[in-house]
Amino acid sequence: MCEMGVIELNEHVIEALKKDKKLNDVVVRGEISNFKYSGPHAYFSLVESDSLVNCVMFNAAYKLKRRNITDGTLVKAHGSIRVYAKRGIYQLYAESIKEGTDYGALYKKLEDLKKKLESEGIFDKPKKPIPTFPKRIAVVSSRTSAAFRDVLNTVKKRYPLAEVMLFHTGVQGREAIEETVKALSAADKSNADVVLLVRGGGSVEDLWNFNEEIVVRKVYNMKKPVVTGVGHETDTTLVDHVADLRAPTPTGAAERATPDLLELSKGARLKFQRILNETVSKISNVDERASHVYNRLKTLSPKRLLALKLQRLNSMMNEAKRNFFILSDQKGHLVDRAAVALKHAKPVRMMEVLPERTNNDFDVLKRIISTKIDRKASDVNGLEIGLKAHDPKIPLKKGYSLIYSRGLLVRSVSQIKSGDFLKIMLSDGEVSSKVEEVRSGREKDR
Amino acid sequence: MEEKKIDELSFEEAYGALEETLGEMEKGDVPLDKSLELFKRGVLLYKRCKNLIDSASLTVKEVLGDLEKEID
Repeated sequence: MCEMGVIELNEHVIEALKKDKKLNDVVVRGEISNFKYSGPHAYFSLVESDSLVNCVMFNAAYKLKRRNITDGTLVKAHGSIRVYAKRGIYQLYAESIKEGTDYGALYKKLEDLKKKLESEGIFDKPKKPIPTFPKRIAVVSSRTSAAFRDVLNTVKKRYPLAEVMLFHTGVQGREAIEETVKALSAADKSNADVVLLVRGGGSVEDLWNFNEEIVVRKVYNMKKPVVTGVGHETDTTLVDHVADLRAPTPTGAAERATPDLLELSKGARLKFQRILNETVSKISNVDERASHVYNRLKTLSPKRLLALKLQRLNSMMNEAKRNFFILSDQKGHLVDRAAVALKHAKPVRMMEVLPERTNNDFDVLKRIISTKIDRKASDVNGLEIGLKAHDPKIPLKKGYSLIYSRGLLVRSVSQIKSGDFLKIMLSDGEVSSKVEEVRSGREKDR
Repeated sequence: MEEKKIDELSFEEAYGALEETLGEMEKGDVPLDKSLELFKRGVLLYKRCKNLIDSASLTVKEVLGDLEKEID
């Protein structure tokens, strides 16, 4: 972005315009409007439709020899485009003015014809369809024209399958009007599929034949579809209104009348590709369906059912196993608990307690027995003491002796007789003796 | 018979028939054998189109009254 003052801006525009070669040497066509002299200079505008350009001609009094140019006159003004800085406008600084054909009258004639044909409804005629694949293309044009060459090149490039039929006609000047109508008739009678009416660019007068009523009516009455390509993009002639298709140029007309073979080739390949895909998908579909049916059959087969049952059985078994383990686990706990309970129950407890008790009882018994033993022992002691008191040896020590005969203690003389051997026990030994005489006590006493 | 006919088709006819064949195949309820038949036809039509495209060369004639003159 830049910033500038008004002067600077205008100067910038002036400089920019100076650099434009076209604008420095230009012929402008248009209709004169507001023509007036001011001193030696003339001021006017050139008008075309609703477009206008201001013009000034310095020394017009000299250049035009004071000739007045009436408003509405179609002229060609030659000069250069420059900026009038004071008012910030650009103008044509004209050096010469050439009055041309009376375009005003020409245009009026055209407008009148257009209105007439319009009122007849000729422009509203339904358009015939242009064939997509023309076998023969009729071209109404001049055989030496650039237009015909353009058509040929275009058809050759786009659709060389078609045949181009030239119906030669002059395309300019009054003498060509009739010729064009004849060529159109011949083309309409031929075996062409479509008719191209073409002519290259030119002035309004050059293209005028295509505004001629007889030509327009001929195109209107054609049985074959007509494509027009007259002049340049901006040119419109009356035949364009009655043609079935209006193309901006001859090349355009050829393009609209032919398909593009390159595109068709691509299209055919694409279609074929789709056919191929469709076939492949069809086959795989069928295959898939067959597999599906096969699988279903397999599912329904007894073998499969059996296998399924087996599987169910297995899974039931597994389930049962699992449940069993869970159950046994639970029962195990119960058993453990019962074991604990049992352990605490009497017999076992008794078993555990009994030895203890037995031990205790044993101890008690031991105590009782030992007490008894002790008591007996003391009894024995007493007896021993008693026994000792009755020991026969004790009197021996006092000087008494014991006499045994034949092993028996002799308590009475009756036990012995003379001659017996006696054993006399003393405290410190024994004596063997022989009885010599036995006397009783009484006898002794005597 | 069919194949010979395809060989005689114009580009427009062959191209149209190719389009038609595709359309029929894309209907969806075509049985397999019909599909294969259409496929075979598609191949021949595509070949015909291709041949016509490859061998195409523009013919130019000038018509003078009732006379036709070939020009280049």
